[in-house]
Amino acid sequence: MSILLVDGDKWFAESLAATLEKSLNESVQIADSAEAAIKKIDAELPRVVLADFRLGTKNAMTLLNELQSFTDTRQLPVILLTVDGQRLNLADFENHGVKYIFDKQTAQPAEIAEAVKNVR
Amino acid sequence: MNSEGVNLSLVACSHELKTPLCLIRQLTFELDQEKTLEKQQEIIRRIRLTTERSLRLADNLTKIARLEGAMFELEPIQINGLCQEVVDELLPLSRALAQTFDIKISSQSTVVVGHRELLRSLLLGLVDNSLNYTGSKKIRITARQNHGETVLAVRDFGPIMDLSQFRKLSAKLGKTNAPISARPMASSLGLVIADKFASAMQGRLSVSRHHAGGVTFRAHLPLSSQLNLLELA
Repeated sequence: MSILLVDGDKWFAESLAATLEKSLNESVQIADSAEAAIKKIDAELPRVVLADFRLGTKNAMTLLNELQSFTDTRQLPVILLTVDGQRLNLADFENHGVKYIFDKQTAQPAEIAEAVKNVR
Repeated sequence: MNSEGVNLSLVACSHELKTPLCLIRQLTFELDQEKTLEKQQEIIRRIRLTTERSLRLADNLTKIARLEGAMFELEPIQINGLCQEVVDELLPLSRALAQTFDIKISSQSTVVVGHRELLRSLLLGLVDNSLNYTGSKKIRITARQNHGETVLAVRDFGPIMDLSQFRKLSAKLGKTNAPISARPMASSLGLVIADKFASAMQGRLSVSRHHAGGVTFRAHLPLSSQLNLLELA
């Protein structure tokens, strides 16, 4: 697994995964909740996690805290997607491994792909 | 509705509408890239279904704006027919999401007194909410009599709702000026609308969660005993 995309909106996830796969020529796995994402990460560590801030019955903090609690996932780079871009401040999430925050209302798939490609 | 109530609801409405609009936007990016006709047609179908859902929400917002101070003529409504209408309207969306409907109406609960358009919108809101946010494979719609009221219930079989979220939601139901944030992944405008429509028909909404997963939203509506007796005769 190269990229893990975590989003509860199935159609949005499938569509963004398709555009990223075409742009980056990398495989994208989809998880629809924090719990499903953790299972997939346990099975195979991705290069980067791309997660919607609103996840299932929880928000992405559940996933971020879980990733920070294990040594092998602590360094995993995370990119957050949100429809509340103006309300989320990257500085508040940097300690949780978040490298970028993209607003779903304005972000271009090419920008997201570029961030996914370059993130370390 | 006081000004605070209006503002809070507008935030919920704006948030709820952003989700399908962001999806439509993303689908257009995908459509731009897609070369195969079959895949293009599937993307267009998803854009159409998502647009129709957004339009239903917008239409219901108009109805809510007209609720203030309005008097409604209540009439006997056949629950079976109404449920079938709602299911028929949402069938394309449910098929696209690979979900099925299961309708069970008790023989004693065939008629309810209400405003047909409001009741239809209420049920559409509840079912649409279940379809879009649960990951459930089945939506069950039931109607039964209970303590002099008709209880119309919509159950999904999705994930278990967090207790904190459940408590927050339960506390807000029935307070018509309060926005309902049922689940973090949805600002749940459909539920806000359903709650307001139930209140307008002298009814109320309630919610329960299930150990096995999923939640049930119930609309408690005034029952017409006389009409039901006529129906059974």
